[in-house]
Amino acid sequence: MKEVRGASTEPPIVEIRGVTKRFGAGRPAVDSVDLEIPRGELFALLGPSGCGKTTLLRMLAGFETPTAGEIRIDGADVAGVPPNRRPVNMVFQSYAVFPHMSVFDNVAYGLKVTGAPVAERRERVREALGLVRLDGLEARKPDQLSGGQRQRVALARALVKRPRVLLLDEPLSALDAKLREAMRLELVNLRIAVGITFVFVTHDQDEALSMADRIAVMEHGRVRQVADPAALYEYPSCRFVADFIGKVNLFEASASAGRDREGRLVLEVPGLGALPVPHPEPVQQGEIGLAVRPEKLRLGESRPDAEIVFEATVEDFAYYGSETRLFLVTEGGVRLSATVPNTDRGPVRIERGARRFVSWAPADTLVLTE
Amino acid sequence: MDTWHAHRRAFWTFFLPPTAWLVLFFLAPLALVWGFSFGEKRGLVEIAINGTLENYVRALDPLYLRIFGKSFWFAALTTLICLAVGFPVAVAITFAPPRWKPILLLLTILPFWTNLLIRTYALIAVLRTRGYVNFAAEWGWERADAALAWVGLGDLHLLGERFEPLAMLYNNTAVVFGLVYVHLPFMVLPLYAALDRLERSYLEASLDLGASQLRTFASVVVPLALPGIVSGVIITFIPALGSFLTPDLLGGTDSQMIANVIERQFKSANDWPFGAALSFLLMYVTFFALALRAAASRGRSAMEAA
Ligand SMILES: Nc1ncnc2c1ncn2[C@@H]1O[C@H](COP(=O)(O)OP(=O)(O)OP(=O)(O)O)[C@@H](O)[C@H]1O
Ligand SMILES: [Mg+2]
Repeated sequence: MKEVRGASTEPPIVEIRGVTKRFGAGRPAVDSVDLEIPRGELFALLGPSGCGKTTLLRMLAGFETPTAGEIRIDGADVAGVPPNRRPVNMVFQSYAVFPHMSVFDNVAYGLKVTGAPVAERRERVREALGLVRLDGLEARKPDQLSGGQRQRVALARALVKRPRVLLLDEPLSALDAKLREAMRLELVNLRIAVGITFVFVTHDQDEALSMADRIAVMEHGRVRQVADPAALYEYPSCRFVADFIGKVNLFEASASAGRDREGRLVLEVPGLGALPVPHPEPVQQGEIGLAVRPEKLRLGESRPDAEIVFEATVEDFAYYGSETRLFLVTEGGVRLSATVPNTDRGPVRIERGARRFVSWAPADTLVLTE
Repeated sequence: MDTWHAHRRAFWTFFLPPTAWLVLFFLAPLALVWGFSFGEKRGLVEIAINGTLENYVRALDPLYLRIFGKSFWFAALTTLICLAVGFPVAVAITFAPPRWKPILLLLTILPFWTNLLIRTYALIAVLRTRGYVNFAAEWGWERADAALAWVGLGDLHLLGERFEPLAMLYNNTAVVFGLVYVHLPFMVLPLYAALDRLERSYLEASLDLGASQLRTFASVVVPLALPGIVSGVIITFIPALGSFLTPDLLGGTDSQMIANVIERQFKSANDWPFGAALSFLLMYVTFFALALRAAASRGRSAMEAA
């Protein structure tokens, strides 16, 4: 996309160091966050409601002042720089498209207030509207637009300023499911087209996984893990991330059994027994989280030749079109959920009370020490 | 609305009493006064409604036109000052911490809890020659004079031989001041209502796009608060135009407003037909202004729809 430059030599466009934000007493809304966002990345802030995503984004935009810590944008400390002087622009969750201005005037507003000449203004507005495919709607008022079109106006209005970082607060949450899906791809393509760094907030894990280059998962104001989508899903760093991203079978285990002959860690799970997992790092004694994703579970009617295998009863199942989710109970009374892709057409060949052998590969087991 | 059709009896039960009340005690007397305005005084209490336009012709006499003009000028000035003073107040209340808001709003409407007459007399007590403003000014003057004497300039009497009380009452300034004082809440409340409804994200979006605070105010706050501004202007201007107590108590001989003249016709002059004509002239003008505004807003929405 961009010219190849050593990623290590180019400073990150956004640096967040030890940033904390307190609103009054109690738990801080944002708690000692450190983040570096490289130029040109599509970066997602993901977390449950109230975890501080919006607050962090608003500190980047300049609407909130950090209680402690430092924010650098393009190398410059932005402490004390008001929102109208920051090289960033924001797409608000409610879009905040000015209702008393036409689409053209909305998009031109940011250029007009900074005194751009009329000709340049017109040219850049046209370009921005083309980018979000709103050509021909210049004269419309916001109340004559659909939700999706209003969102494009908000996007164009921010992009026309050519910000160094575009901030988006839950940009797709106000759209219906179908449109949301389409807009995901469109936003990703748009980012590639304009080459601007996007930082977007979402509480929708699918959105983050399918769009972002990297994701920061937040909980209670803290960043729990920063990784690319696949790493986040397959190698979550803690129970919270494993549970928040996707579905997971999570067990509490103890590492009292030590290591087996192959050097694998042997974890004792109540009801499942001793399970070997490849985990070269040393672990503390005591409670350890052990997790396995539902789609990693294999189901068979006869006992497979596998190291980890249990006989289980199908308690319930749910059909999702592309896949079927099964809820099973092992002989030891442990509940497991498994998803099987519906690769063949035809009726669902499963029933409640059926017995299946459940197995998974030791390498698919996640060890969660936090 | 469909349910109203379904429950006709309920509709009439609720609709009829207030309608009857309005017709009986508002429309009927108004029609009567309107009739008087085309009448002629015959004797002490007798009025013959004979369709004469004499009263209106008399009302258009330059003497009265000047008073009309003055009333409009006072009301317009009052409205303008109320807007200039009321806007920052409304903005301050809107952006005040949530627990302060009810208190500030209460303070805004607190004057309504006291009778207008008493408030006006209180204002007189503040502004008169031996009033609190002059006491304060005199105190300041004495200190300043003493200070000048102390530095050795006492003999020059730079501040005058003795304190001259400020004449703040019984002139046009006092009337406008009194009108502003009385009508300010009428301006602040609709402005506050409009500003409070205004979504913060519009202001933030404007700042985010590079506009200064001032620019945001001019290009976003004012246009979005326009309905509130128009309401505030109207409900300040109309009662200000019809004021008679304030010019009566605070004004000088040349500070009369049209309502004072009207009052006099109905009371001391006992010329009801002429008073009625003056009243209705005032009302026609008010209606004309309201119609103009309605036409303007209709024009605006038609333009937007196009
Ligand atoms: N202006 C404020 N005053 C007081 N508390 C605030 C303020 N803004 C946010 N908070 C608190 O800070 C915490 C984080 O809020 P924030 O809006 O950042 O959450 P979020 O992650 O964006 O959540 P959501 O997904 O629901 O939008 C919440 O507990 C919220 O109540
Ligand atoms: Mg939020």
